[in-house]
Amino acid sequence: MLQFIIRRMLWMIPTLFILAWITFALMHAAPGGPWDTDPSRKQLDPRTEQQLNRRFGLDKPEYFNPNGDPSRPWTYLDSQFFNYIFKALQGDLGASFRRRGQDVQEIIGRGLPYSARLGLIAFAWSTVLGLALGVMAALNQNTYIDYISGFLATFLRSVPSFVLGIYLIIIFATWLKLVPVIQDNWGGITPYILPSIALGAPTMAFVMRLTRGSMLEVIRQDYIRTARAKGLGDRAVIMGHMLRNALIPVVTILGPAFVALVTGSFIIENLFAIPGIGRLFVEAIGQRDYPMIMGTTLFYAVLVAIANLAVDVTYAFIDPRIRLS
Amino acid sequence: MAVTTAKPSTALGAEAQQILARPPRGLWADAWIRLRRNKASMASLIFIIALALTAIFAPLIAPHNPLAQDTTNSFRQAAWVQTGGKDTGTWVYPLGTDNLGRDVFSRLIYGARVSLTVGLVPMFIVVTVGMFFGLVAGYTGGMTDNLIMRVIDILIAFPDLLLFILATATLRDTPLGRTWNGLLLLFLVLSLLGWTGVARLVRGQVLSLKEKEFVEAARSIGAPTWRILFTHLTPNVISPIIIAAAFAVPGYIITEAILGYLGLGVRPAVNLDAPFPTSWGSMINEGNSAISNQPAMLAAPAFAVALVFMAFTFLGDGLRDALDPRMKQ
Repeated sequence: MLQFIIRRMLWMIPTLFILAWITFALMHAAPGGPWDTDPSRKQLDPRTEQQLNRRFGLDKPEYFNPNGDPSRPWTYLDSQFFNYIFKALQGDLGASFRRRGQDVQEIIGRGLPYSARLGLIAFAWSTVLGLALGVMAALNQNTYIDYISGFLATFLRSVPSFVLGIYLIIIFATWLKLVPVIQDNWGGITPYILPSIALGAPTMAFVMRLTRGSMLEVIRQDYIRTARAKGLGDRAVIMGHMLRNALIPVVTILGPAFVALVTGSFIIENLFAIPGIGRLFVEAIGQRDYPMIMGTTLFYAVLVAIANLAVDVTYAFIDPRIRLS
Repeated sequence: MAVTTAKPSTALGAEAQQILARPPRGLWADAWIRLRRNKASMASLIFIIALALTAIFAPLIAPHNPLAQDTTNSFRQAAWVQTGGKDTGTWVYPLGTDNLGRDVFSRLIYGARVSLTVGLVPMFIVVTVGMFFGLVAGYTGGMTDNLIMRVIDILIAFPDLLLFILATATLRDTPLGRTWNGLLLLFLVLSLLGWTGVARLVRGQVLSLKEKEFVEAARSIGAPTWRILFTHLTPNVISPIIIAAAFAVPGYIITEAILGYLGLGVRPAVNLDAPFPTSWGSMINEGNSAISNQPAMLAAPAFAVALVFMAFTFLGDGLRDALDPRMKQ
C-alpha cells in the first residue's frame, strides 16, 4: 500500500510537467500579450515594454535556447518554459505581472482559505446528504420517499449551479433581505451558506442518484438474501453488506466530485464575489498574467491528483478484491 | 444472451406455457419493450425528438429572425406580463424581447441547435472512446492498463472546467476557434477529457467483474479476449455507461451554458442567416445582466436547459431499467 502511494506520488511529477507544458502552450497560442492595454488608452512605449520583458524573462526563447554554451549544456534550457519549471521546483511560482510586487504563491495563499472553506462546506453537505437520501430512496423504492428525493435530485441537477446561485441571490438577498446582496466579510461560516448550496447542489444530486442506483443493484444480490436468511438485523445488513458493496461506484466519483466542486467554485466565486483562487484564475486569463495562470492551474492540478490518489486508496480499502499493485 | 428464462417447473400453468412458446427476443428488443412501458422516459424521448425537429426546422417555426433588431421595441416583457406601459407583453413576442429588441422566443428556438449538438456530438465521441479504453485497461491489466491509466491520470488531473475556460479563452481567436462559429473548438475541448471518466468507470467495473465466475467460465472454454470483452463484459458494464452518458449530454449542455455565461461559448453571429446564431448559455449571460429589466431573458434559457436536462435524465433512467437484465421481474 505504502509502495503504491509513493509510486503514485512519483507519477505526479511527469503529470504536472505535461500539464505545465499544455498550459504554457495554450497561453502562448493566445493572441495578445501581458502588457497589452485597452486600445483606447495610452499604450506602453517600446522601451518600457522591452525592459518589462527582460525583467520577467520574456525576452528569452519559449522552450529551447540556441545560444547555449556547449560546455555548460543546461544553458540550452535557459528559456521561458524551463526557467519557470526550475523556479517552480524550488517553490517559487514567480511574481505576478499585474499585481505589482506580489508573488503568485502569496496571492494563492491569501485566496486559499476562502476557496477551501467554500469547497469543503459544499463537499461535506452534498456527499453526506446525497448518500443518506440515496440509501433512503433505494430502501424505499417506488414509495413517495423515492419519488420526492428523485424529483429533488432531478431538479437540483438540472439547474446549472450559477443559475441556482443567481436565483438564490434574488430570493434571499433581494426579496427576503436575509443576507446582504454584496458580502464584504468572508470570515465565519454564514456567508458561505448560499454559495455552498449553489455549488454543492448538483454534486448532491449526482451522489444521491448514483447511491440509489448502486444500492438497487446490491439489494438484489444473493449475499443480501443470505445475510437476511441467517437472521441479521436490518442495521447489520444495510451497513455491513449493502453499503460496503454499493459504495464502490460512489467512491469512484467522489474524487471527480471534489474536483468539480473545487473547479466549479470559480464560477460561484465570481458570482458571489468571494475573494478566492477561482476568481484570480478567471481574472488572470483575461489579463494574460502568465505566472498567475500557470500557478493557479498547477495548484488545482496538484489538488486534483491528490484527490484521485485518495480515491484509489479508499477504493481498495472498501473492495478487497481490488489489489493495488 | 437468452432473455426468455422462464424457470422450468413441474406443473406449467397456461401462462408459463405461453411465455415458453413466445419467440426468443434479443437483449435490445426486450429492452425496447421495457422502455416503452416507462411513461416518463417515453415522454422525454418524444420531447427530445420534438426539440431536435424544432432545432432542425427552426427557420420554419421561429416567428421572427433571431438576430433581427428592433431597438424601438427593446425589453418588451413576456406575453402574460401586463405592465400597461410601452413594454407590455404581447403574443407577437411570446417571451418578450431583449435589449436590442430581438425576439427571445425565436432566439430560444435557434439556441436549441447549439445546445443539442454540443450535448450529443461529444457524448458519442466520449462514450465510444472511453468504453473501449476502459474495457481494454481493466481486462488486460499489466502494461497496457498502466499506460492507459497514466494517460488518463494526466488528463484527469487537469481540472476540466479550468481547461475548458483556458482553451476556449486562448484558442477563441485562432482559425480553429472560428470554425463553425466556435462549435468545433467546443466539441474538441469537451470530448478531450470526458472519455477518461467513462474509461475509469468501465475499468472499475471490469476490475471486479473479471474476478466473477462467468468470465472465468468463458475463459475456460477458450473464448477469445475480444469476445469476453465485447459480449460478456460489455453488457454488464452498459448500465453505468448509460447513466454516465445520460448525465454527460446535459453535462455538456450545462458546460456550454457556463462557457456562454462567461462569454466564451459560441461566437456571436451578426449575419442574419447564420445557422447557429446563439446558444442558451449566451442567452443566460445576456439575461443575467438584464435581470431587472426583462426577467424572461434569464428564466427562458435557464428553464430550457433544466428541461432538456430532465428529459435526458428520465430517458437515461428508463434506459437503465430497460437494459439491466438483473432488474427484470
